[in-house]
Amino acid sequence: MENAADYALTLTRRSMLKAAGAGTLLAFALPVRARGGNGFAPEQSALQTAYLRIEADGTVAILTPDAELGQGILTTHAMYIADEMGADWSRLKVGFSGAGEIYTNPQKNLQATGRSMGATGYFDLLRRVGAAARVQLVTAGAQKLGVPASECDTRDSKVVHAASDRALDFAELVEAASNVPVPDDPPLRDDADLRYIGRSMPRQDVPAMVRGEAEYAVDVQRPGMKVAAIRACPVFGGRVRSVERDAVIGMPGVYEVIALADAVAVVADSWWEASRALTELPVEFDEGDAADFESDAMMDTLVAQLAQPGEQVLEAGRDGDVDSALAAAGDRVLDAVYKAPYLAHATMEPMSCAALVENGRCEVWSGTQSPMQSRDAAARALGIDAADVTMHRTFSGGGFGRRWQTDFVVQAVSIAREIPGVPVKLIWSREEDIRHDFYRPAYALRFRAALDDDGGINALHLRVGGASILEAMRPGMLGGRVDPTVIAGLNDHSYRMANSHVEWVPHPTPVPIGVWRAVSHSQNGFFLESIIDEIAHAAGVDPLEWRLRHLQDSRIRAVLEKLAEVSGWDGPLGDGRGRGVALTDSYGSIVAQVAQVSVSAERQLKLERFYCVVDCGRAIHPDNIRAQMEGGILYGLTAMMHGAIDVRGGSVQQQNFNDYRSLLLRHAPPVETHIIESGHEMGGVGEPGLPPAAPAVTNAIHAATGIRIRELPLERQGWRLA
Amino acid sequence: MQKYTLKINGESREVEADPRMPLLWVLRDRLGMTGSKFGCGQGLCGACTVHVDGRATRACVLPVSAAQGRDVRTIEGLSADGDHPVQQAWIAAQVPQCGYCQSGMIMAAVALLERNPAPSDADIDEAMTNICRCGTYDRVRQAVHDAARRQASA
Ligand code: FES
Ligand code: FES
Repeated sequence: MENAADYALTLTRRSMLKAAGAGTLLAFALPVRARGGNGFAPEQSALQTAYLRIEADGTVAILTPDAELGQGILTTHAMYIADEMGADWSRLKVGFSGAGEIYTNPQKNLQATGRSMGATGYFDLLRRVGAAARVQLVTAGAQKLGVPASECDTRDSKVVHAASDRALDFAELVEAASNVPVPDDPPLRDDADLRYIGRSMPRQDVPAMVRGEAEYAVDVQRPGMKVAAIRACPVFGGRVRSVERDAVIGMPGVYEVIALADAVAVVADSWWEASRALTELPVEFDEGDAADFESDAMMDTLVAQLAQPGEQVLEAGRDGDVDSALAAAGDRVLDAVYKAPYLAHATMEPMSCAALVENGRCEVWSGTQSPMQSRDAAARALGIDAADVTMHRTFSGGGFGRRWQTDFVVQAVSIAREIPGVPVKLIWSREEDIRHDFYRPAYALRFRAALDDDGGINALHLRVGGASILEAMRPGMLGGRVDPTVIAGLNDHSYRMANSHVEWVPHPTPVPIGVWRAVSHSQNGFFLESIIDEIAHAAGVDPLEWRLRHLQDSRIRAVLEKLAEVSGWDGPLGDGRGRGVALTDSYGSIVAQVAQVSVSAERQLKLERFYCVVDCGRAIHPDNIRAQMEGGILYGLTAMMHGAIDVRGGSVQQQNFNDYRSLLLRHAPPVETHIIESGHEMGGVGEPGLPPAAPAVTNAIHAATGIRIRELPLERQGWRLA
Repeated sequence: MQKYTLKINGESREVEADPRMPLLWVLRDRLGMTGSKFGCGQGLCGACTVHVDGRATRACVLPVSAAQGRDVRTIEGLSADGDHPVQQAWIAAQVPQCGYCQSGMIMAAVALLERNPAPSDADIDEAMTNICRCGTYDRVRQAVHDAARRQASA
């Protein structure tokens, strides 16, 4: 996969990256004929830049470079620009930019939505874009009013001269403002002057969503458009050997049958006609090397390797002398293995993408998380220039990392190439979506721990086994180094210990793997926070109190202290009930959660309530932060309860929401979120809510029952939700 | 292929389709009404929920032949200006995240409230079985209660 290096690039520590320098603002604010985007009705506007446009009636149109996956980024970015511009919140419209270098996120030098960096990465840049427009408007307005620019400001989409109580609407200033040179380094507003940033502004896209009008890729309509359904070889890596096109070509509505290297597609007037023909289409596949792969057997091998890793083990961190410390502790060493399965993303909208190929050019309509890589992958597949690919971006019916991949975009343009001039919309069935994901890899971890005399950790040995996402994307790229997408969360925590050792046993897999919400933290949060709970229990100390005593970082302790207070941690609970605590530090944000559960003798589990405290440094949009915590928790709880992908004979056994299940409303605990603005560097919120959720619950189950859960999902161990 | 006359949002619409073609795809691909979403095609997720004779119905598993002559209502027909009390409550609670499940979620909520104007938590648990992968359930619950209050005071 071509975008591994790009993903690795985004892993660069944020502190090493600086926002675009002042001199580059001009480029962002200069008029561009922005190709693609979501196509606001073409309109000539004198003041039009890559990110914003003022229309004749004074409406400010704002384009986000990110994908809207549900994280509210359209609104966040509109807040950045509109606040600096002084634009009226009710006179905005928002949409998606096209794809291109001009839209790259300064924190990762890439236009791509992931690693919870949409709010942090564009914070300075988009404010400066808005501030530049403000300076232009103020300069033009002051001239018209015949007053010094220094006496004017913008507010509610007007240039205001307070001293004379006069104001000019943006609509009256578009032309004149466009003649004002774009300032190189426009001043940003003081925090005290901000009216949107820091407040829970109503989301700009929600009204369209509740009317069913938000356009996802599945909804794209063009004149003469056809719809395609697709079936890939069920065995990973398999190839199409033969297709009997004629068997279905006369079926009602069927337009064309197209064989790709590893999949067949039927193009028809409607998706139902396409998918019906696809089920009747005789196809033979060459299954290839993965046909004997079994995920259960792989897990057994992995666990065996954790005991006897031999040569293959890689160092991921070492401090002190763990071996001697463990040897000295003899049979008091805690020693256990944890397991986490493969997981699918199962975004609510299955993979989908529309494309038109004509005269050496290509148009793509997609809710991709990686528009630049999608553009480049489409160009490569078609053998054309990236400049000849136009990306139209739509809403995404969930992403969670799945839409970081470009496989479905390549499929769509490859189908479109065979029917030039005909726009075609590819929609995956849910079965295809579950069976051809880029899965969260399965991992196993063995820990050994020895306590010191105060109940703290004298020695902790963590040895994790599993596949490298980066290596799977581009073999050889790690060159023997440790993959942060495997290890982050295990070797960078804040717990004090005299001796520690972290190791990784790489274990490649033929299963396609990729980034899944919170990536390594999704499993490592479960592993480490369960282990800490085991240690606290062995020390005979309350697990929250134990953490407070042994966490080195006062910022993390402050989050826990707040959590203890708001969750009523020390309050009494009746029989059969328990509280569990877990915390993780990911994507620049610290999140701690308490789960309160009740448990029956028959392993009926009721998720009664969640308490969540998040310190994301600075809160841009408090309600959206709460929503992301709620969403992250629910996504984590669904995986904890039900999530498992089994591979037999090289193909995924799960098919649809009947066997890859989701929590439903009746299972969902109320979530109470508290936000701490510590003033530290701003962190992300799209992913950090997820990792503590599962261990908070499994630790609560332990508190209620004494049962220690070391393997997910719970339904495989006889648990049911009440 | 057969001709069908469907009553959708109070209007009569002619379509030609195989009798087994699900109403969802007739709406989306024959009539260009894309508000009702495709999530699973098996009646499992509720993204495609519409009303048929006032009952919440999963359109991905309802053959068009069975919809003939019945009253079909979709998200597009819920209100002229997007201000049905349920839509208002959804905006007030900022329910949607990605939004993809929400047409179906809203149609399920409207059907519930038409049957039961003051549902309890247990009633909501029972009736609202749509899947939301973004995890908006807690807000859905609060918005249903809020919509009930809005309808009662209207
Ligand atoms: S698409 Fe109809 S229930 Fe899922
Ligand atoms: S809002 Fe995204 S699936 Fe419900």
